[in-house]
Amino acid sequence: MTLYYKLGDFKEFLISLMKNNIVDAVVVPMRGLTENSFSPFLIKDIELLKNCEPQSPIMSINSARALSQLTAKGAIPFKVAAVMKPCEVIAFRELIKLNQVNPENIITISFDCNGVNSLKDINSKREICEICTGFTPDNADIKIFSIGIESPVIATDIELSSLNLEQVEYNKESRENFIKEKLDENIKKRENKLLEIKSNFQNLLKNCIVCKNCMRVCPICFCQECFFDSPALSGNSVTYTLRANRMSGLSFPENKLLFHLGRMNHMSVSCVGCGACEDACPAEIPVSQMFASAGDELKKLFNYQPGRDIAEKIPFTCYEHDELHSFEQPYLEKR
Amino acid sequence: MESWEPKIVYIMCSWCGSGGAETASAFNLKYPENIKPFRIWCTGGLDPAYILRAFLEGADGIIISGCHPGDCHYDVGNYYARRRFAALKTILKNFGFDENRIWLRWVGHSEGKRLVDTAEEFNEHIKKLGPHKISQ
Repeated sequence: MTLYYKLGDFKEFLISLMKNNIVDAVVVPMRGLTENSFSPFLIKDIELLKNCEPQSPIMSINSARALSQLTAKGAIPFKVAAVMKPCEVIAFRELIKLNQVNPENIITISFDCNGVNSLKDINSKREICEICTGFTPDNADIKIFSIGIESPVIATDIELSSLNLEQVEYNKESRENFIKEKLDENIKKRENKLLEIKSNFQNLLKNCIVCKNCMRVCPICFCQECFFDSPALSGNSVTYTLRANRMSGLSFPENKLLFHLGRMNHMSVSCVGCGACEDACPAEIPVSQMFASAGDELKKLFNYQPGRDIAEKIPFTCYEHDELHSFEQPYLEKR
Repeated sequence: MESWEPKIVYIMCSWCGSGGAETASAFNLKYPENIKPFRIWCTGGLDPAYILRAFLEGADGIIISGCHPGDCHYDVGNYYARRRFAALKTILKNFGFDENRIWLRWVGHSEGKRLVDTAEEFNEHIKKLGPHKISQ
């Protein structure tokens, strides 16, 4: 049963979780070397926790990636709370489906996200955050509600009675109305923005240098050996010339379109829209908006929503017997 | 322009698509010579990146043939293939590529005529569309 508690201070709440032995360690964003550098830290020391920034305005990497690394050699033997933005929680749940993270003993804490700032320009919001449709912490174990209500509320199914938190009621209606309004606004913005992106797709990619940064930072792209790094794509002078002949000149770096379209085919259906790819791009290509555009189409096609339900399989790992016949070419026998 | 012959890749699975080609040869049926058959193990193992690579590297058209649904040699490979194929077409269409240059049509082992008809029909279809141009 979901219980609602009053949230005093986010940091204090994390500290009390540690003090009461509900968790033994916390993964939480913390300020790094300079004023504006934040990254997820694994912390076991309560003193250190006093300096954390749970709602950091910067997301350097998607912390689902950190948890994946943390559990790569097996489950964590003690309880860990991970403070994540809603998109990070979705990525975490997608990675569970892909067997890339072990969710055992991990408690996710998330909150109503206002979007994060771009790494390139720390004063402006990430463009993908402006058109985000998943800003509420629907999938976390401990949810912190703050928008549309007067004071923040903790909503959770987890037993927290040892913390002696004050149980409260909150104005559900006001919150839902607020969310609906913001969602409608974002969906409208999203439609316009993505229409612009997709009609300008090839033009936007013209500056791509195929550095593959977008692939390295993507929380969903997990293959140890990537097809786009494989020697299958390289050749010698003779094969290059043959290719150049075939496709009216070969531009370098090659495989620009293949890389992006190929990667879209592989994982855009699970794209969580965190915008890490866009921030990592040195050529300022709106990669995450391109993926959002492709991803939205695929999500519609397969009626899939990443992170929605852990039991729901990723569309490419399941099938139905009777579906998608419009993609099969009909055959009329010639007599 | 008159001498232009479309470059077509015919991807067929080793059990039904290729089997169809075998049956066609047994009945002495012929398909256009500009069609290059490309045998794969199972359509379920066909990564969209391979189709894309042919598509972006100058093929004018690509057809994929595998066993009929329910008839896969590996039981379910073609169901997965259909999902991936649908995703590929959706993405290409979304970004304004000519997704009609890629076809999926199931051909059984015994359906030699169907394979040849498909090859001919597709060849005509691509000839109507003209050369495939992709700016890099």
